[in-house]
Amino acid sequence: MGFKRKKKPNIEITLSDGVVMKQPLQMETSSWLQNCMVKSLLVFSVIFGCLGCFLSSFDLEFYVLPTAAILFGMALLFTTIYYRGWLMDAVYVVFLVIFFFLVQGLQVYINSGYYLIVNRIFETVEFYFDLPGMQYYEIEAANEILAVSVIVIFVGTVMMIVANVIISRTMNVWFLLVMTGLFWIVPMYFRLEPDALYVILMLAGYLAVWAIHSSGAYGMDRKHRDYKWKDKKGKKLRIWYVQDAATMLETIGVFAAVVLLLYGITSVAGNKDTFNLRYRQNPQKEESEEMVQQIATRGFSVFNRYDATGGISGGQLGGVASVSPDYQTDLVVRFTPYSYEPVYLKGFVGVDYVSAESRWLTYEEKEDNPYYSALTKEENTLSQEERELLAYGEVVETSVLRFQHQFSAKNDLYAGSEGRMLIHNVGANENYPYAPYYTFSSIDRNDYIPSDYQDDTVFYRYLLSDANWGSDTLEEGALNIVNGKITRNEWADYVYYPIVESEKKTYGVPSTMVDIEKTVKLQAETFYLDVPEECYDAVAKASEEAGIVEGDSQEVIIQKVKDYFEEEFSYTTRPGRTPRGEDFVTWFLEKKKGYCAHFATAATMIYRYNGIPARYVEGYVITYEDVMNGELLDDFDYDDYYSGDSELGETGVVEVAVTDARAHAWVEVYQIKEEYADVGFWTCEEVTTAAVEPEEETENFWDIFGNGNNNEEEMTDDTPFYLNTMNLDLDDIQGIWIGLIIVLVLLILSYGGRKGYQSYREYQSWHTENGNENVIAYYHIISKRLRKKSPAYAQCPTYQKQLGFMAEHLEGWNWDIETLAELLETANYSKNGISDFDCKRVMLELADIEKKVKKWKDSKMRKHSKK
Amino acid sequence: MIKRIIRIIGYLILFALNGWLLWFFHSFLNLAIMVVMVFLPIFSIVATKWVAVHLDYHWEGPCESMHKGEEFLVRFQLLNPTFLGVMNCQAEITVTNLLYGTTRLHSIRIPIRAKKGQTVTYPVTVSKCGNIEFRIQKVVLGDFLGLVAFRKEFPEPYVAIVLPNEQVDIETDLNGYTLGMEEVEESTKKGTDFSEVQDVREYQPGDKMQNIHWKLSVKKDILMVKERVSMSSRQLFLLIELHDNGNGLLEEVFDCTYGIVKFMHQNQLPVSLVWWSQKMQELMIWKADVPEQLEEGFRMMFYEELYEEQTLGREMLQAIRGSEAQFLWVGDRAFGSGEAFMEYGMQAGVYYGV
Repeated sequence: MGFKRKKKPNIEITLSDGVVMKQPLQMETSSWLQNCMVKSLLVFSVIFGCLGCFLSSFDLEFYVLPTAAILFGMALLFTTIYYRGWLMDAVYVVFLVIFFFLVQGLQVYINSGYYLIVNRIFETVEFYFDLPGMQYYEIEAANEILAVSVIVIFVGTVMMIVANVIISRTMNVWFLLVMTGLFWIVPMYFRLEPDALYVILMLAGYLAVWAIHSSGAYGMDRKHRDYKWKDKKGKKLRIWYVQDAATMLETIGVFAAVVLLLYGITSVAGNKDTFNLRYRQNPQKEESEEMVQQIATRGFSVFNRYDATGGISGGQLGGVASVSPDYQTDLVVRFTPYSYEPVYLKGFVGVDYVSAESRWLTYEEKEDNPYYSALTKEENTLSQEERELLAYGEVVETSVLRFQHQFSAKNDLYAGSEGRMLIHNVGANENYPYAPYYTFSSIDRNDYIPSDYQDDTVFYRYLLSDANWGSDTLEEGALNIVNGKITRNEWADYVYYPIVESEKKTYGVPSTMVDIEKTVKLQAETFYLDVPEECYDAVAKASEEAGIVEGDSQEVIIQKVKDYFEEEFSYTTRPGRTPRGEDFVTWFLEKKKGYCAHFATAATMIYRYNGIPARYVEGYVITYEDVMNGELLDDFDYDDYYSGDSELGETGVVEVAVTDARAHAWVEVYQIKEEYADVGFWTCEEVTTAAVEPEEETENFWDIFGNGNNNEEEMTDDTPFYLNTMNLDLDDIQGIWIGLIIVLVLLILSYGGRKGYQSYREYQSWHTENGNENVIAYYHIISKRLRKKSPAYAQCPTYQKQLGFMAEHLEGWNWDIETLAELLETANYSKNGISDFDCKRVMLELADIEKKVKKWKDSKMRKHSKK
Repeated sequence: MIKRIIRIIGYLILFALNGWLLWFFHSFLNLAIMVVMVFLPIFSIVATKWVAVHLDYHWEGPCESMHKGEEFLVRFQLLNPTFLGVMNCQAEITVTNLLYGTTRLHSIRIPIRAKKGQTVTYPVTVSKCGNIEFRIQKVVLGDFLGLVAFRKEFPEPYVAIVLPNEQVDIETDLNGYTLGMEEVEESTKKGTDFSEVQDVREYQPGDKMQNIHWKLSVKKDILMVKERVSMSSRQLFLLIELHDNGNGLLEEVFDCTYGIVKFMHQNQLPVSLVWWSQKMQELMIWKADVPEQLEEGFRMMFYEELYEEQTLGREMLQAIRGSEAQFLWVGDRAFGSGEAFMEYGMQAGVYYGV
């Protein structure tokens, strides 16, 4: 019988007809380790170069050599493990774990390094755009240079992982430019120049990547072959070397030398200072500055859950790590100043605090709640619009004040005031009216544009008639405010009756408002005393800490809360996001820092806890400083805009641009006012502490990645690393844990998937139509299993010996070795193979053998493992 | 070429982008990058051209003839005396069997190291006889940035001679042949030289010591050898048909011929190779009494041109020498005539006379 091998892997390269290479081609190339070293040099030069450009541009000091050494080590590690398949996965997991704990241990330095960089950017932005009063982070770490070095290592390591993938796989300079470009382009915008060393390093890296890519010799080969080939029939045979560290290194060296030379020549010939003197701002850059300013001031809030540019948030709480105003005008307000006190423009009114959603519900939203709907229907007979008005506006108070003004005007008592305010919505949220306190009416705002903004329109003042005054129903003018929203570029014209502190007169409530006042009081006591369970304990504790005791009057309680906040709390625009699942109020009362929304919400809860109806309000505040910075409109008559008592005397009409930085939150408290004949007044209470710390100990660097890990208070330079680690709050680092778990799950899935796929392939291999192939494939699977169990089996080269080994070791062996070996040999080597009947017979026998192999354990192996 | 154009476009885009950044930011960094981007391609092109001008090469391979199935090394060296290494170097190499006229082009991309160059070694095994020519058609050197390429031709090839396999298993029935050679065989066994001295010439390397004409050499003070014509060589020729049917016939013919001649050498019997030269249009007769002559004979045959007719050699021999010519015809068994001397392989056969 003639035997001939059926399958033989083709490893030959045919150079010509009858001329073949059966052994590997030989050429002088470098070892894989040398290749790794050169690639790591590439990764290092690009990443360290661009980071160095960034840091040197902003004049941030760091320990250059140690940082460079560590980053180069990282680059070497990543490039080396990239060639090692499964090892890469394992090393990455171990590395991530170590990295995670290192990061936790060095958190103070990482945070401080991040803050230092951000502060420096803020400084630059502030200087470049001439912005007022940007706030800076407090630096915790004593050694600022070390802090910057640590953050550079941290960021550089992450970048190197990505850069290594790019360089090892595609050697694509475009990807690298996209990844690293911002680091050297951003400083250029602010006319900052990097140090030459980093520029040369970076440029040499980019150019070398370009050159190596164009040579095509950068492919990764995990088998560490010197060359690869492609031999398709009818086409030219192509052989190419995989990579060569020596020539790569020579190329990098050449580029570094050329760049150094050219950069040097440019520096000498071009003279940097002279060049900069010739600078002329181009118009396109000027146009971009507004956008860049916004990005620069808002850029660090990109991970916020909702927009936090400084405008009002509509009752959303805790979802932003920081509030970053863009200093753009939201409202233009034209009015006559009458007091040194701030003017509050009321927008959003929160009735119910929902802890689970970290937000305030409006009255309309509350009305959707079946419980409240039932309650309101039962307890009063007001219409929906009326109830909304009462929930939102201050109709009783306005009536009192209006009555006071009109009465005093008739009697020439000159008490009480009436003002007129025009508000133009430039960039504010369109859902709110932004009316000043105690607004009585507004004119129809549609299509209304003041004449000074539209030449052909005659400007006239529209006053509500008093036709409805004295009726039992609420007044139409007031209702307009409730439904009112100032859409963009629309004007609103309000008539309001401010409380002027200089002279208070008491005239009581108009008789027509008495019933309404009762309703308002009932409503206040019904709706505005709820404190959710989630924050109840914290609010009670805060109340106690504030020194509120039973029997304190409303005024005393209100003042104690203000004092408590003033003494114990600090204001910050970067308090960090409230972690998911945490109650916003509780979190704030624990951390004792936040911005106006924190203070107002917490104060509302404390007031309610102490029996004072209170509600949360958002809007804008016009300070006296804003008024002073406003434009005085000489062509307008004071009397058209204001009449009555004024603390400032007869001033003038001013137009004030209110930026988003003036958005604010405060509390309205329902108080019985003795000076107004015991009428209940919704008054505006400012609870946000005025004291802003000059330096902030606020946002944690990690907040931008997850739910905020605000452990920095416990973390100090003196805190030992292990303590920091032990103090970790699992909830705080939830995001990181989830990330780690996802990585682990993916690894397990990928391992399981690979195993599953292998099993599937194995199964397919012995379920073909060719019985002989099935026999051989099945036998190989059994052999493979046995080889793993016993090294001795691996030494058996022939079927005969292999079956002999099985017969010797497997229990219950009852097959004829000679016959089986011959059948296997015939199936494998013979052209004709064995018959179908024999195939089936052998397959059955192999199935039995497989069962025995599965059960069998090599006693030698066990002994070895025990040792 | 397309890749190069794409690279040029990419470079121009980068250049334009940097130009825009320079205009937009008026940054010194951009100015420096601009200068680098202007001068770097110039440097890259000039430097690569310089390397290309100085690049040299040579082939190395075995000097002696090789045999089919025997692995041997052929290597070419590209020598780069400059201090610049080139990553992007592609050599276009043809490997040709000059006898069969089969050729294949392959490209090989290699790194050219500074001050060193590159050595590429092919461990080749040849399964068909002939002169195997390795030739670098051209070397293409791409500049550092991959924008342009320079070509350089290296015309000098290396030729390896591949003879039939030395271990030809041949079982010959020499009855017929030994009858005709009886006289020669006997005289050889007795130690009598039946050869005739045809000419005397100067010694050449490879000449046997026994052929040196000592007396004359002493007189002329230079080694002279007697050129002999064996009596037997005038009586036996191996006529080889240089025809191939594409199914390995010629390989069998060569193997068979080689085996017979080797057998003759082992038995110290003289033999001559005869073939019809299509190029020269004449009958070639080559003494192959010793291995060196045999190799030379094959080498000459390997430069011949194959013909399509199965028996052209035999016909030409008959036409020229007539029917009295004594020879063994080696060719396609299907076209053999007369008494078969032996059969070899699947297709080849050896036949007596015409």
